[in-house]
Order: sequence, then structure tokens, then C-alpha cells
Amino acid sequence: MRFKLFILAAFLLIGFIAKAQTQEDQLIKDLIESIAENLPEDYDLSELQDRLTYFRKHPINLNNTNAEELKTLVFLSPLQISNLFEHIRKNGKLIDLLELQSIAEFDLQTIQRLMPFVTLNQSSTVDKITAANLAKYGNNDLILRYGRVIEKTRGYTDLPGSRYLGTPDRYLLRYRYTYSNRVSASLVMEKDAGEYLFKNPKKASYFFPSNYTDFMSGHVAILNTGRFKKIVLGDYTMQFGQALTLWSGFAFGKSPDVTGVVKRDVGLRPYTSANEFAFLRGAAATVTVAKNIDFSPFFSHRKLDASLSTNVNGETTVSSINETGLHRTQNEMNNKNSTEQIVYGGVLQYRTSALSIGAVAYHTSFNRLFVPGSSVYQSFNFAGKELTNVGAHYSYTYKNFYFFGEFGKSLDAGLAYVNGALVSLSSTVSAVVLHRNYQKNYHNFFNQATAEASEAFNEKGLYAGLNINPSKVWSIQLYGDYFKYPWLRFRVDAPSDGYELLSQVTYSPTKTFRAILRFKSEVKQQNTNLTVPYNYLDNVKRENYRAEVKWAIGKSFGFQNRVEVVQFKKGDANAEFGYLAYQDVSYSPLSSRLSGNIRVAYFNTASYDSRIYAYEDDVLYNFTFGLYNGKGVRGYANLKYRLAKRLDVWGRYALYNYDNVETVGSGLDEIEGKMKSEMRVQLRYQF
Amino acid sequence: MRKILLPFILSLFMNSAFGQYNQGARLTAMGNASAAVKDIWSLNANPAGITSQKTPIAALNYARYLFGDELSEQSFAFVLPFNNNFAGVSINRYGISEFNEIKAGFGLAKSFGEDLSIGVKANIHQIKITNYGNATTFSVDAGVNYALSKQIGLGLYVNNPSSQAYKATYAETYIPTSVHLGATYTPSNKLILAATVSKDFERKFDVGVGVDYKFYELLSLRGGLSAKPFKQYFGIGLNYQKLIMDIAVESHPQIGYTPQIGLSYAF
Repeated sequence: MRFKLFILAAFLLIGFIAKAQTQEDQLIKDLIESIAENLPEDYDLSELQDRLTYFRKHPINLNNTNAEELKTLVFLSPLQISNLFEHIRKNGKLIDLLELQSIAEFDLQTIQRLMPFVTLNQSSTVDKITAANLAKYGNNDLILRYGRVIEKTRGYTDLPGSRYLGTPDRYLLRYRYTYSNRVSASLVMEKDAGEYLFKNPKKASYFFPSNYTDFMSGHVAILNTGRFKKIVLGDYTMQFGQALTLWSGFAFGKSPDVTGVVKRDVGLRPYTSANEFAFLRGAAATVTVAKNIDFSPFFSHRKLDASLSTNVNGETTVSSINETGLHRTQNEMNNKNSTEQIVYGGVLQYRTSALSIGAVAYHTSFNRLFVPGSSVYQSFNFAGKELTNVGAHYSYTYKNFYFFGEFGKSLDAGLAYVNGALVSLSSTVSAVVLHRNYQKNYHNFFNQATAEASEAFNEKGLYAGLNINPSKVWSIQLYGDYFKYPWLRFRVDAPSDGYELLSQVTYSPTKTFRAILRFKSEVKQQNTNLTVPYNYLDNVKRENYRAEVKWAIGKSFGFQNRVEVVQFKKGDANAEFGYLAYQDVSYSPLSSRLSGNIRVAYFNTASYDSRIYAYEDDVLYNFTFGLYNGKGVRGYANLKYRLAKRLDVWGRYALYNYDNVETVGSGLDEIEGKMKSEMRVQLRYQF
Repeated sequence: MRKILLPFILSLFMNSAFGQYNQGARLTAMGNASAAVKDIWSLNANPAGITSQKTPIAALNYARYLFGDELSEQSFAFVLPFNNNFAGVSINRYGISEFNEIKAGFGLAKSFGEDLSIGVKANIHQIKITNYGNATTFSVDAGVNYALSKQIGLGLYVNNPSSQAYKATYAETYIPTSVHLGATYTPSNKLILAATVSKDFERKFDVGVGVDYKFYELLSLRGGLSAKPFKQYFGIGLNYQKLIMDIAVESHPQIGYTPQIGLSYAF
């Protein structure tokens, strides 16, 4: 009897712990999902997930923080951050978190989002770095992931020419260590589908761990040691100003969150993601050199994948850098790590609660000569082996205005600048205006500034956006952006221009119901599809209409439905359409070890031009934007099970079932039949 | 040659770019999202909008089209309130010396309590082309404004519902027949947001959105967008006692920038 009671009590206890953990995960998941809806389809969210998970465990002390730290919580606008510091400066330290409600710009939604990540208590953990503390108070997070496409694709068959040399399996190992806000370390090892698990088996030396995987990344960082705010050895990212001069990794841009064009520069950060391109490798630090003045020197040496060719002098030259990090075929293997890049420089920053000024200077060099492509549109691209970039950025808060901007210059080449303002027009309306001018010969390898094109050069533009929250239940966002390309572009044989408009209305009368309508229209110019002696430009119009509802039944079941229609029209050709409709069901009972969700989607698009993207739920730390192209059904199921207190397992199965096709995909990814399915398993152990 | 082509070119531009008559620098800077906004220049938009004037007011406006040598638009407006009635006169002249179009009108508006107002306006249009001759016609505008709440206002107006046109065959210019439905949102006494959906029977739907933000008592900042064609608008207003000066710049992807300036004086 006694034993039974004990068992019962134990189960209840586990239930409670599980409940707390699930809620915590769910919170970050919901937040990321709402952010993801507003992002372009190539954004890497794992870094953000990592930050939020960290702050969930180690909340930021609002009375002892800085703008850089708060900017990592991407849902805070720079104006809110600046108002918070102004409030503390005027009224002294915050006594209660409810006080946030009295600060200008802090609406209910922001406060609800912020609460789980902040505190007012000085953290009680002993944070001296000693071996004993590191072992006792450190958090370890280990993730193992395996996945593959179930069908055999053409690349794995015995083809005479190019084929995939490795196996179709994907592996990921990710280990992360954090100790308070003092020490951080990580190790990531990854193998993509089609890559060798072991480095080219013929040449492998099994002595080096890096030979056991295609990609390896890691870092060790020591933080908040006296003047040394951050010291990072290994892989890191640098994000400063408006992303025009020095920004490695991803940056928010134009999105339904109209304030996204104002960059949240978080400075130096350790790199923990599995993306094989977007980081620097070496050593970097941020040092406080005087009151309000920080200096961040950095050095990076890494190898890049580049396709090489030979010029008339017999010299090996680089024509383009490959950012995908895929090394599956002989050709991709040859390009792997073929070019060395050395970057060094520094950033000087002066910051007070209202004003921030920064200066950046760094030098990039390669061991091989870059040659611009032979097409006319490429004539102003970078040529040579060395490049020096300098830049200056600022932000200034005056009353309800937040001004920001950056100037960047590549020495012996072009200039670029971006300036803007974020204005709180009233308690319910805020506006953003951003003007940009990036010269056609502005060269920079770490440029993520707000732009319509994927890279911020050869572009001028003016962006204006409004964010209106007339009441708690209604929210309206709209923006318009006009852009001009003074020089030619890929498939655009003349200077061109275009515009983009977006409006979104959200209605959320209760906590469990939300409806969204979104309209987006984009007009650009492109070479005509007709065969003519000289290409002229045709207008290309793309319009998206989206309607979505999210609702819940009881506490365990959540539902989401979406319908999206895309219209694509080029020149005088008839408009073509793409449709997507899906139903999501999620099951996450508070006291169960099991949770999961499924999606069933029907899509029908006339061609790749009218394709549709949608965010898909996936295993933790993996992010998928589904591509819906062609005609068929898409479905997936995710399951999560808590094996033990600190041990979770995820499983995912996803498939495309196309109508009326004999093969799926193209090139080496072609599959016989009409199905493409994928599975994934992941284990997480926290200790 | 130039003289022969000119009327054709001008009327082309007029048809493609200027379906509406100039609504003054303030409303232009707000993306012409004027259906529910009240201004003296509502005379050229929703005539019910002149009912916010408390004293007699006169205004001048000048817009310069940078692609032409001397192409401009000059406008004059005057509004006189009496009891709950309002009378207004407006004159617009658009063109160059060889080609110009004049629209002159007389409007009457009445407010019924705080929330509702109605206005009508009769216009005479004249087009004059050197060496070709003149053509004249008439048109009517009518509109209504309704305050749904303290923060939300609605407006609806029609231009030329009977589709009057010039009789002369050489004048390609048409008098637009259009319906405009709009709303304003006024969350504070410093800020007006406005939106208007317009349907000209000869063209696609257009949507305009605008903001008027009174930054200081003296200074207003404005901006707007319109969708078809895609245009961006910016402007400022300087309010000094009874004198108001408004400046606006309109940016059109093909035509470029069109600056304009307006002055008004409230007696």
C-alpha cells in the first residue's frame, strides 16, 4: 500500500515537472512561430531559439542590463528599449514588473511576451568561474538528430557522371554548455544528405575529430569578466549598426512586423547554429575601454567553398562563393574549402541611454584572386584579393522619435548609406521610414542591410510602414516600399525599378482565437521571355492573398486553417494562380508526456512562379519553410515524448504526394513516382 | 511638330496620371486619401469636408510638374461658413499656355449635428488649345461625411456621376467619373490616419493611405502611399496663427517628383 502511494506521488510529481517544462517549451515555440510567420523563407531561427531558451532559464535582470542584451529579444522595438532605460533613469530602478505598463510604447502583448524572459531579482547563483562551479551549476544540452528522404533519388544511383558520393542520411550532433552568464561553449557536427560521413575515406586520417563529419563548428566564450564583456574563441558572429558594414549571420528585413527594418544589433555573439556559411572563425572580444565606450577587435581565418577557374596567366581565380555548405558531388567536394579568407578589424562603440554611435573598420583578404563574371551586369562586382571596409552607424532617441542609420564605404570602391526613423505617433500608432542608397560597386562580404534584392548593393529605395493597434483585439500593419536598381541585374538587362505593398489585419477577440488577413503585392521588372534581338523589360507582378484562423478546443487541442492564393503575371501573358489550403491540428495536454501536431495541405500551383511557402512545425531547433509547388497533397506529423525528466525524443514524418506526375524533383534529386517522404528523429538530453 | 504633338502628349499624361484634380498640398501629402478628411481643399474632393471651417478661409495652391517645361497647376479656394451651412468657390487651372484646362466650381455643404454633413458642388470645365479652339462642359460632385465615433470618421463622395464629357472630338481629355469611400482614425488630437478606396470607371481600383502628424503646434509631418499607380507622398505643414503653409512632394515611378506648395489664411 505504502509503495503504491509512493508510486502515485512520484507520478504526480513527474507530471508537475513535465507540465512546467512543456509550458515553457510551448511558450517559446508559439513566440517563434509568430515571428516565423513574418520572415522570409530562408531565415535561420535556431539561433533565436537558442537565445530565448537561454533567457528562459537565465532571465535578464531589467535593472541591470543594456540595450545590446535587450535587442536579442527580437520582439522588443528599439523605441521600447530606449523608453525603458529613460524610465529607469528618471524614476530609478523598477520595483515591480507591472511597472512596465506605465512605460510609453509597452503594450499588453509586448509585456506578455517579455515577462517569461526577464526578472528584477539579482541572480542568486554563484557565478565565479571555478572548476567546481562549472561542473555543478553548468547547463548541458545535447541534441542528436537523424533524418533522411525515404525514397531513393537519382543522385544515389550508379550514374556515370556527377552523382552523390555519400549516403542519403543526415546527422546532427549539437552540444551546448552554459554556466550562468559567464561561460558558454558549443560543438556542432553535421552531415547533410549525400555527403561523406567520414572525410573522403581514401584520404582520411582518423586522428582529427573533424574528419568524422562533413561540417564542424564550435566555440568557447567567457563573458562579463571585469572590462572584458565578451571573449569568444572559435566560431562567432558580429552584428553591428544597420547591418550595412559588418553583420555576419541573418538579419530581419521587410516583414509584416514593420519595425523589422530597424536592425537589432547585438554585437559579438558565439555561434551555435549548423548553417555552414554565416559565421566568422577565430577570436573576438568586446572590451570596455572607458565609461560608455566599448571596443571589439576580431580576427577570423576560415576556408570557403568557391568555384574556381583559371585565367589567362594560369592563375587560379574565384568566380563565385558557394553558401549552401553542401558537399555531395565530386564537383562540390573539389570546391570545398578551396579558398581561404582572413578578416580582421575592430568596432568602437559609444553608448548612452539615448545616443549610440559606432565606427567599424576591417580588412578582408583571400588567398585567390576574385574575378567578376563576364556578364555586363557583373561588371561592378568585386575583383582582386583584398578589401578594406569602413563604416559608421548611429541611433538617437528624441522624445517619441528613434533615429537610426549607417554609412558604409569599401575603400577604392563604392559607398552605401541607410537612414531612417521609428516614430511613435500616438499610443496606438507607430510609423517607420527608411531611406537607402547602396552604390553598384559597394563591395562588402558582411552586408545584410535592408534591401529588396538578396544583397544590399546597386539599390536605392524608400520604405514607409505603419503599425496600428486601435484596440486590444485589432491590429493593422501596412508598408510600402519603392526601389530602384540603377545598374543591370541577373535577368534584367536595363536599369529597373519596382515596388512592394503589404497590409495585414489581425483580429484576436479572445486568447484562443485569432484571425489574420494578409495582402501582399510586388511589381518588378525582368527580361521578356520572348526571343528578341535585344531584351526589353516586362513587368512581373506577384500578389499574395492569405486568410488564416487559429482556434482551440479545450486546453489540449489547437487548430489552424489557412488559405493562400498567389497570382503571378509577367508582361502581357495571362496571369497564373497558385493555391494552398491547410489544416493543422495540435495536441499538447498540460499533464501529458506526449504532444504532437499534424498538417494536411492541398496545393495547386500553375508553375514554380506561383509557388507558395509556409512555415512548418518541426523537431526542436530545426526550422522548415515548406515549399508548395505543383499539384498534390502535403502532410506531416510531429510527435514529442518526454522519456524522462531531462530526456526528450522527437519524431517527424512528412510527405508530398503529387498528382499526375511520373517523377518528383529534378536533376540528382529526382525520384521515380509521385511521392517524396522524409523522416526525422531527435533526442535531447539536458543535464 | 512639337506644337501638334503637345496637346496629345498632355492629354495622355492627364488621363494616365491626373484623374483627380489637385486636392491641395495637405491632402496630397496624405496620399489623396481624402474621402473622410476635412480640409478647405475638400472642395476638390469630398465637398462635405468643408464643414470643419469655423471662419472664412482662403487658400492658394501651386503644383509644378518637373517633366514639362512650364507645366503646372494653380488652384484657388474660398470657404464661407454661415450658421450650419458652408459655401465654397474653387478654381483650378492646369496646363501650359498653349494647352490648359480650367475647372471652376461652386459648392454648398450643410452639417446636421456633430456627426453628419453633406455637400454638393457644381463645376464648369473648359479646355483651351491654341489653334484648335475651346470646349466647355459641366459636372457635379456630391459627398457625405459621418463620424462613427470620436476616433473613426467615414466619408463617401462621387465625381461626375452623370458622366459628362467634352463634346468636341479633338479633346481627348475626359472628366473622370469616380466613387471614393474612405475612413479616418484619430487616436489623439495630434494624429490623423486616413484611407480611401477609389474607383474611377475607366480604371482599376486605387487605394490611398495617409498620415498627418502634428509634431509641434507649429509643425505637421505628413506621408502617404497610393497603390495604382504606386506613389509615395511626403509633406510638411507650418501653422502660424491664422496662416498655414503646406508643402508636399509626390513621387511617381515614371513621372518623378511633383512638388507643390499651398498657403491658406483663416479670417
